[in-house]
Amino acid sequence: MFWRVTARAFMILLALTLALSACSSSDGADETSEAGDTASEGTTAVDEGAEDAVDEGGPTEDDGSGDGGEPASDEPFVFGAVLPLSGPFGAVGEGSLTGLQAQAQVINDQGGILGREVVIESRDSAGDGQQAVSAMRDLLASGEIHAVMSENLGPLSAAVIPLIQEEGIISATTAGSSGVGDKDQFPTNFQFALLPAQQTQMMLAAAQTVGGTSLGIVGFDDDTGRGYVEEIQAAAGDFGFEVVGDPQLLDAQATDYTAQLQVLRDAGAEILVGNMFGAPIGVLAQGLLDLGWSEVTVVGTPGFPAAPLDVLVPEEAWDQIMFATPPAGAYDGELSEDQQVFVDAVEATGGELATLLAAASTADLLTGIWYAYETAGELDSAAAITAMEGMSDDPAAQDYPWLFFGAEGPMFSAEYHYPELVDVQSLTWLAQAGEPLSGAFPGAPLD
Amino acid sequence: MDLPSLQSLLTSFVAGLGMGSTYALVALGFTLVYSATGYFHLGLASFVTLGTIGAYLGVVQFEAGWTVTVLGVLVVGAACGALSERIAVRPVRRRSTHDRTAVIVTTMALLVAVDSIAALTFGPDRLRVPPYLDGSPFMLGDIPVRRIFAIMIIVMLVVAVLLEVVMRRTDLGRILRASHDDPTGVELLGINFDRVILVSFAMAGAFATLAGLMMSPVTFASAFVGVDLLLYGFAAMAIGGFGSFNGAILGASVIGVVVATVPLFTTPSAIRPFVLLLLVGTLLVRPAGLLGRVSAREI
Repeated sequence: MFWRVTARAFMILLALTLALSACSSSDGADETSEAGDTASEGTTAVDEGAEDAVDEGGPTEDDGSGDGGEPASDEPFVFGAVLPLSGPFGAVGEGSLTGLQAQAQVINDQGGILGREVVIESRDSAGDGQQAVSAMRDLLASGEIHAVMSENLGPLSAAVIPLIQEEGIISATTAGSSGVGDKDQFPTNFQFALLPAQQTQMMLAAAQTVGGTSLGIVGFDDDTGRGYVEEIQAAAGDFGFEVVGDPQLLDAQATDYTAQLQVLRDAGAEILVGNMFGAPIGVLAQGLLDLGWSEVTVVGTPGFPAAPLDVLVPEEAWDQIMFATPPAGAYDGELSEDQQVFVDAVEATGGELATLLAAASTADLLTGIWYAYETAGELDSAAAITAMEGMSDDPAAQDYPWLFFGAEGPMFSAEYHYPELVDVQSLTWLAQAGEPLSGAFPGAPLD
Repeated sequence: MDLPSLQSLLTSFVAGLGMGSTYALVALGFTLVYSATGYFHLGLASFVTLGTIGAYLGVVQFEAGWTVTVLGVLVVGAACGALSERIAVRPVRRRSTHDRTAVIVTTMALLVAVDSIAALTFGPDRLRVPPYLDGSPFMLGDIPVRRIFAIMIIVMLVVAVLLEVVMRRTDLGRILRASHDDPTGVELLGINFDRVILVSFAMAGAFATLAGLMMSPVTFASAFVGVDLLLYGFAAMAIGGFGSFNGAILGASVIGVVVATVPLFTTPSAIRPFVLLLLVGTLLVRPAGLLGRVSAREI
């Protein structure tokens, strides 16, 4: 009798658990946290009590970009975001949300956007296309939204942008896929990510400094990975490299890459290059150790420092795992002033920095929205889009605290809603796996 | 495309055997439960997840060392195994003529629930667990062999031999096998069949968490590692032969070599289709699997 009752109770609990886990993403999406505190509504606002922790980092009053100090209006500026806050890409989404919350803190400390306090309204896509669309519909129906982050996974971003367009709201994404910054297809969207061609240039420029001319290529076995392989093959000669062996496409879920690394070793590769992210970088590094292949150096794209390399890569292989990164992902002895401002804001909002670069890209996204509305001077999405398109010709854009894109920002134009005009060579640092400092890795700018 | 060198092929073969040992540990857990009860306990994959997370918590988070961690996680694994029988099996057992199908569904639900809870509490990251055996790989001729793979293969073989001995040479094993073939007959002999099932689930739970512990330095600790291994572990059991421990090892080794070798010739996306092709082909030729026994029943 006892066991029957107990078993039934467990069955009910199991059913409840299943139901809860199935709904967790959307429920979590409805959660509202106030600058690090978890609440029960849907908005992430800024902890005003933490203002002192954040130094001045943004534009001045003369820029027309805010009054400095307390926001002037009682009405908030609502920034919506649909992100993969759970599931396999949950760490990516959490890092993005941390960046948004911290940058909202920075902006609010300088008077908010058009005098309004910035609040972040987030929804969870769980990295799933259908759920992303549902989450975006729910977000857009939840009230007045002034700007939206349209996911940070390429396919999901492309799926939700049309919904935002229907509302005529300015949107932005950190997805790196080509296409989501295509103005003809998505006229209201802006892409705050370096394109594969740009990341490839950064990586090859960085690889030039490590010595060697024989290049082996690795990458994930998906459309993005194959796209990078083609980019590298096309550009390698321009940087004085010879590609040796067949490019090795890797299964991101695999636990051993030694056989494929051996193929590149047989081919005589001196440097391995490729776009990878997450745990597979650790598997790759372990493979080098297992093969005893200590002469080779891996040089990755800026996708590398989006993962906690100090945790994933065995310490014995730290010197072999290098990557190109914008300055936000690395430190040369100490953090830069802009990095420190941002890190202070993260701490003030109760966030955790797994890696600085991942959070920095979404911080720049919010900075872009800040720039667009302040430049437009009114709370109108169409005017903000026009202002964003004038960024490359506006010296005032350089007064904003761009973290990921360096001093000039993403330099959007009427033609390019992606950072085509950014000088990536000047943006490139060479860094390596090592002891992180507030989520940044040791490195130095290229000469 | 260039053909891979002999060195690359041998390296992939050794790596395949190493990865195959992880699949084998999962397959042995499936086989143990199936041998004793006739049920497919898909929820065992979630215990692999718990094993990897337990390894991370014990070794990295609490710095308890491998010995304490292994003992602690094994106890928890056995308890969870027994609990899983209470939650997912007993409530549906003998409630219909299709209770074995029902158990597949309930244990799958258990897998989803445990993995979801693990993801919510542990987070989505794959976290590195340090190896329990340090040192650079040793050389087998010109082929480097990762020490941890060697240990896993040894542990897998030892466990398989022990299971074979227990199942074939001990009273417990005889009862477990008899329970599979004729549970009613076993109960008529005065043996508590419920307890037999409970013991087998507890053993399988401990065993699956051991698998998770052993493989954690290779697979990383993750809330999703169990689901990833479910297909290969189950396919290994099916290819090797349902209920055969030797078959589980053979099937897992074959799959491991396929997984490691296919990317040398084509895209890694072809791995799963190859494995499924192998599974279907094997079952078409030998419906009981490579080492499974066909049982005839007189009506």
